[in-house]
Amino acid sequence: MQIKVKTGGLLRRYLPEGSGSQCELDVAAGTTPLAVMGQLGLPAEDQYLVMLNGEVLPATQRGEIVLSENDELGLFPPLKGG
Amino acid sequence: MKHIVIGNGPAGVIAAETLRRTDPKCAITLIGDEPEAPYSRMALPYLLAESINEDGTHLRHGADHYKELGIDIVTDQVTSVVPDKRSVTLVKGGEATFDRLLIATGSHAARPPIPGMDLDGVENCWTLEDGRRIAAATKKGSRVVLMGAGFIGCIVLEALAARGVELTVVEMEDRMLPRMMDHTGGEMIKRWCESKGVTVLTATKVEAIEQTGKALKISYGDGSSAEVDTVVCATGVRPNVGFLEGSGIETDLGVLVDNNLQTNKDGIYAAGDVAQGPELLTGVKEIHAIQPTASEHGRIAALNMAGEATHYRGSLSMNVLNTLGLVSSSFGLWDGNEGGDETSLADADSYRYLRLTFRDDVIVGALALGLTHHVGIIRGLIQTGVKLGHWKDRLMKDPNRVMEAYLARTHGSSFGY
Repeated sequence: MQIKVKTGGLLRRYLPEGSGSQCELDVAAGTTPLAVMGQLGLPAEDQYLVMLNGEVLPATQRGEIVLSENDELGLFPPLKGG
Repeated sequence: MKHIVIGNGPAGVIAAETLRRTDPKCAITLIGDEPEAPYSRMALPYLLAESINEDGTHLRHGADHYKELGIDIVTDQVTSVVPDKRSVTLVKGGEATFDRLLIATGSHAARPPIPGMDLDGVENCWTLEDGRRIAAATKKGSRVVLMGAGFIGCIVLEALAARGVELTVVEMEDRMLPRMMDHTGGEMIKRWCESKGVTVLTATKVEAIEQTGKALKISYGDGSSAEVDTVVCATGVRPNVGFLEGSGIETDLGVLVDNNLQTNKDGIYAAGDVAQGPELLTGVKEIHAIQPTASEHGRIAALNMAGEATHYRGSLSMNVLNTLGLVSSSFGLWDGNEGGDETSLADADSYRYLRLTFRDDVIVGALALGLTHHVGIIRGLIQTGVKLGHWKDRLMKDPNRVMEAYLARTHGSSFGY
């Protein structure tokens, strides 16, 4: 099934080449946001701000929620600082 | 009413003062875990550059400032919060109870998992004590490697350069300021730093640090190495949320708060670097670890704690940075806005760069380099959401006209055709 993945900042590099900041991604039915992050190659030891359909998805739920067709998964750097 | 504020950085101090102003009778306890008067980490680079002394880092001056306001200062560490009992547990002080609680515990310096990070001579630049150690260790001619060329790294860079050290900056990403500048701006800042005698290694990983006699040997990913006296680590920060585990207070990366800065637990609020709250332009809950957000959070959380219901519009990410005399700034959605236009103008030879991003005819993000007089105006245009009308097309052609656009669209001045 297809989902939409949006990223920002330095995380763009994990999307397929030429995607810019977002892309459609083919994933297995029954997959979780955590599995998609693994599929894209995001280092597991880093922290991310993860959004599902516009809502923040806390770390504890990323391996539990099952994605549906056309879901929009947002993967962003953990914080903006200075 | 009994208030406890955990954390005595800018968010905590402003909250405590706002509580007092709003409710003259309430009890306020301000808990900090460093044995210092409340101070600003932002001021540490100025201390290192010797443009201020330690007193200059203090957020408030006068020995009796907090006493006069009836704010009880406690040096201790909170290890847990029990919302149902309205209590916190302290390392030294047992339990303390509250009616309203503010979590303003800030963030800590993140250290990369590299062998040798725990050696003497490898420092963060995060606490006043870190600052004292770096000051004692670095003198004119000291060989110093700075790990990380992010925002904090670049401020520390300026301070170390002012101390006259022989400085190398190492950044893992392919440019300086990878999280607040695009390639164009990052490259200009790198070239500027190099022209000032700083060695800048981008796309370079530190693999290991080892003790070699009195010095440190730092090894890079390309197999090269260098001998240095001090390594300063500025590789990001992470919110201090560990003590909330099991409390039932909802966290993601930080403590999740609503537009009143309240957590999922009634009467418990969070502010500053530790709070993950609404962003101004998107409403997405983000962490903005910057002092302007800490100040706003602290004030608005306190008003709500004191019973004056106050809605927070959300925080705007912004950074203004002076790197060896070159001023750069970034605001909001500088990295682009889905479906929106953007424009930029670069003059690499004179280190000037301006990039604006739009949502319809409103500026929602900007990068600026070498253009100090634009900074306040850009911030104002973004924060107040000024509709630019036909001025947007003019800015698309020449973003440098942002001052004219501001005057025309907000003051209806003679520019306002």
